[in-house]
Amino acid sequence: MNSYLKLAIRNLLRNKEYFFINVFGLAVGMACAIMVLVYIWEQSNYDDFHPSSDRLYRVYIESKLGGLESNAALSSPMFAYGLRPYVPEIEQACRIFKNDRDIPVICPVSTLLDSRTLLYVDSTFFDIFGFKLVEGDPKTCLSKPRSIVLTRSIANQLFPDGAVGKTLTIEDEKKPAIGSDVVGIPGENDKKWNVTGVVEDCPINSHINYQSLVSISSVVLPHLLWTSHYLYTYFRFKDGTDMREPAYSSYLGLSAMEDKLNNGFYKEAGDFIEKSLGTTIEKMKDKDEYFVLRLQKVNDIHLFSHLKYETSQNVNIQTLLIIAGISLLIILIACINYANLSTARLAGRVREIGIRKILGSQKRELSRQLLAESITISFISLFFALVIVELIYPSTGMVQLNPDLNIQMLLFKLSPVIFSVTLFTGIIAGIYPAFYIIRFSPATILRQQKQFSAGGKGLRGLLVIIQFVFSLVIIYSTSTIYRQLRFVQQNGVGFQKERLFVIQNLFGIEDKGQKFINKLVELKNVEGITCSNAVPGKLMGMESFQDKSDSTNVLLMYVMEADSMFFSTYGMTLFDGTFDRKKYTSKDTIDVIVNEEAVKYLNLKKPIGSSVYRQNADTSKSILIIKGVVGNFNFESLHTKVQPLIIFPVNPEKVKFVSVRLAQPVNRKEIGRVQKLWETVYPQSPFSQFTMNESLGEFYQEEESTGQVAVVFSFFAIFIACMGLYSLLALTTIYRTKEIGIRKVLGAGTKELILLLSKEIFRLITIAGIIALPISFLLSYYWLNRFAYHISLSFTNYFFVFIAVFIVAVFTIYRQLWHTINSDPGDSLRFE
Amino acid sequence: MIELIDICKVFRNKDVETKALSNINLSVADGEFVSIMGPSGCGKTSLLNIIGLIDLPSSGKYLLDGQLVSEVSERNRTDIRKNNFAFVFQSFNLIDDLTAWENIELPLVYQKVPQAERARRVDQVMERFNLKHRSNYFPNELSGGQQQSVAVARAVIAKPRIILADEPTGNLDSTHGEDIIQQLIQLNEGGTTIIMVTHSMMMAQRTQRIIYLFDGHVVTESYSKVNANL
Repeated sequence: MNSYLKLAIRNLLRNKEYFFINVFGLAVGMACAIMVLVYIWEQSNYDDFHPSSDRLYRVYIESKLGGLESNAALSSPMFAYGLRPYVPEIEQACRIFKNDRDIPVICPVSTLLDSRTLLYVDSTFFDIFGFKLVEGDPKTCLSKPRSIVLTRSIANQLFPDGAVGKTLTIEDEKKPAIGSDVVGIPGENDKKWNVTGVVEDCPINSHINYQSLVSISSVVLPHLLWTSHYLYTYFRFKDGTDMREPAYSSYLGLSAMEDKLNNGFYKEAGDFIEKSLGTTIEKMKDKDEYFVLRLQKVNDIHLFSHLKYETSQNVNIQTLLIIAGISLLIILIACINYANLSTARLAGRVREIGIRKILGSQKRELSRQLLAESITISFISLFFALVIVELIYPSTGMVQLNPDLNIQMLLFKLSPVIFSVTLFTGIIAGIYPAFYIIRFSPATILRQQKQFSAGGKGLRGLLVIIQFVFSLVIIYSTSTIYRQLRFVQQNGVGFQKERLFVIQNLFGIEDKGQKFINKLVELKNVEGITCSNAVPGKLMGMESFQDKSDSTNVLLMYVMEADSMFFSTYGMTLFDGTFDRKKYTSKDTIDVIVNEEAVKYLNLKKPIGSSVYRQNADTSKSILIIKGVVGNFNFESLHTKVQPLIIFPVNPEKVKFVSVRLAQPVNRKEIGRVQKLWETVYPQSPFSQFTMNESLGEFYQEEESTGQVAVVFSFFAIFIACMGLYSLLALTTIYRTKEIGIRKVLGAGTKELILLLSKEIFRLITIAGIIALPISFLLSYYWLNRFAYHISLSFTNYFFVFIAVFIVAVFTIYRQLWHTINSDPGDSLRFE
Repeated sequence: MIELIDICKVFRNKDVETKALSNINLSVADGEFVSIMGPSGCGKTSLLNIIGLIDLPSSGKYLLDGQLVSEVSERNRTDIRKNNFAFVFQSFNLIDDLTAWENIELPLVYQKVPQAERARRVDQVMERFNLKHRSNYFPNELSGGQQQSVAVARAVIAKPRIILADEPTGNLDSTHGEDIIQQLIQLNEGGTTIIMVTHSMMMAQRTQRIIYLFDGHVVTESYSKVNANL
């Protein structure tokens, strides 16, 4: 073994350029594979730390009402305990109420604790989930009202000498309004929250994110209705429950467990459904519509769940598989390049191998020697691959590691896999040259040296084509991703999102709120202010309506409330109409504005003055008079088409957002000025704002990270393709060195020789360009289809990508070509 | 026509320095047929490569038609080579991927001769060297003699002023060797200057002048019987 290694290292060092190229080529491929390995490992280990995670499920809702399909992760607060009698297999249940969407909680306990990051959870939280409680009793810490469990980092900052037993004072800004959609604190006089536990900071690989946990009994939940869905419900089923057993009815492919849940739900909620939606489950079935509860395994949420109102940004499994496939292809191509270069190098070593054979070397020994070389290179490459990973990993945006798990530790954890991959890479890369050379007899080797390098020319050409097809496809796809991201950032939202920022955390604009707004108006550079309960991208809810007062036809539309300045502040096109601000209090007749899509959906020929009916919770109906039509604007992401929307006049008590249009781009100075104003009005409450650009950008986080990964892959792909090109040219020039000499002697000039040597390579790249075109377009087409509004495929863009790749290819071969062509013909002729 | 003044050629390989030619002074007149003889490693091929501008001398001056060519760039050397020289090698140096016809055509391609003219001249030369029936054969399908005939045909197609032949009969049997030398003599009679490296005294005696090299030095020059008869 020692002698193999010694010979391998000696052979590698003899030709430093090839050694470097081989090592670097493999290192890049391996770095790519390692990064993807780490990425996949991270992504596929989400939520695996919960005990009995195979029995832990979340309830979600699948519905099709009024022709609109909707799948949402939210459920009713009634599910957790109301459905248990119907499903005896449920062992434990837990509800999580996340405050960042619908309902504000008045709890600005300190600027450290942003009320939007608190989770209101049942006392069963630590029984069901595997989050580590550092201090406190897991069974009781969240059982009493006004109990709060702080994360370790917050506890350390707030109470360095121990948090459990301490209290947090809550500013009681507003009295609880039970029954309204503002959540209050029960017990007016008690403004203290007791710290009952300390939990480890939330791990990154969890779909649930928290800063602190508060007992759900600390808040009065609004709308304790079976049809009001605003929190998350988790069930742990008893051991041995067959979750895959299909339902007897086979309705919508429900499982037996889901069927039991739905039966319970329909029994309990039938009346509510009829009242609030004006229809029954049977009628829905007749219309091919549905409203069903579904179960999803908590383990699967991160990779497979793409519902509305997810608790965190999930990953698309298809994207993950594509990334894995691409990285596998990259490492395979790196191996092929290695094999190519090694075969090229063998042309210079055939005499040595022939002599070894004549001197009695066995085929097995020769192949071992060549394999030892490639495995040695592979392990040297691993070292450089790890250096590359260490250097570029943080900038790829591929993974956010848990704070207690750094890249070195992760690599150590994955070392058996990495070791196997390296060994496998070495064998795969070395196997072709090893078996290629040993099958020839010594006489053949010594007599026909040059034919060795000529062998497999077609195959090598094919490999270069494959590599360039791959590079072109991935580069074009990357450019498509970025063009689309630019498109969604710049166009198509239907309002002017520049110079717009939004202040959140408002709980109505009475008293202090109005004072704040009055001061805000006076600020320099403020062009417009509007108050609403929702803004594009945040908190739009859905409600059901009827087109006639006696109709049972359910029309599901998005709703929001805004004041009359909303349209001008957002720069929207308002075709006609205005709000009567006084009418928001009236329950019977309300003036509304609808968007163009709603006009279509309601099939209105003359929308202004038309009526729509809303079923209220108390069985009464409100008449909505359409007073105006606003041009379509995207209040969700551009993934989906603009949906029908009704805009009500805002109830000042329900204002949650104040949108501010500035005369100049939003900057820290302007925001700082507003913050100062805020702090004078609300000294205890944290100031929280976001720009409209940031808010809408959140819709495209997955695409952004896909884009970042694609850029990394593009570099890898083009680098490896150029390595392939370089090795092909190396092979070509070795094979043709003598021919070049002869041609030079016969009068060939530099131009002719460049043409001669590069013609074949450019032919291959051109073929690759032609093959890559339909593949690139097809992939981009499928990717773009996830957006309802997207760019069109561009030939010009493809042409530029092709030219860029072509130029890179020219640079790759230029030095080598120049060197070969300018060498003395005498050297070339002596080559033999 | 060709004048070499104090030409030296040194090959360097790591720490080893090999002096292939030392202070060579040599003149070759227009229309001469000169042979260079000497033992293996005495510098014959190196000298021929320098004369043909394939290699540059390490020092000394090389004048071609009175023009100093030992210091010109590779680009200019290519032009000079293209317009003055043709080469015949011991190992034929045909391009394996080209047919006999295409191999012969190659110098004309580099001289940018129009295609029709090229075809006419290649056919003519192939006829003259009795290679017509082998025009579509690849080098490895031809005998050694036929390959060398193709190499000579390739050398003469561009009507060079000087042919440099490096042991042109070295790889051939006596019959084929004789054919090749006859072809060269005919070319010389047509006015072409020929410088031939050979090991064979019999072949050398068919030339007008013999230059003997030993360890990179010209040790002696003699005029052969051919010249004496003139």
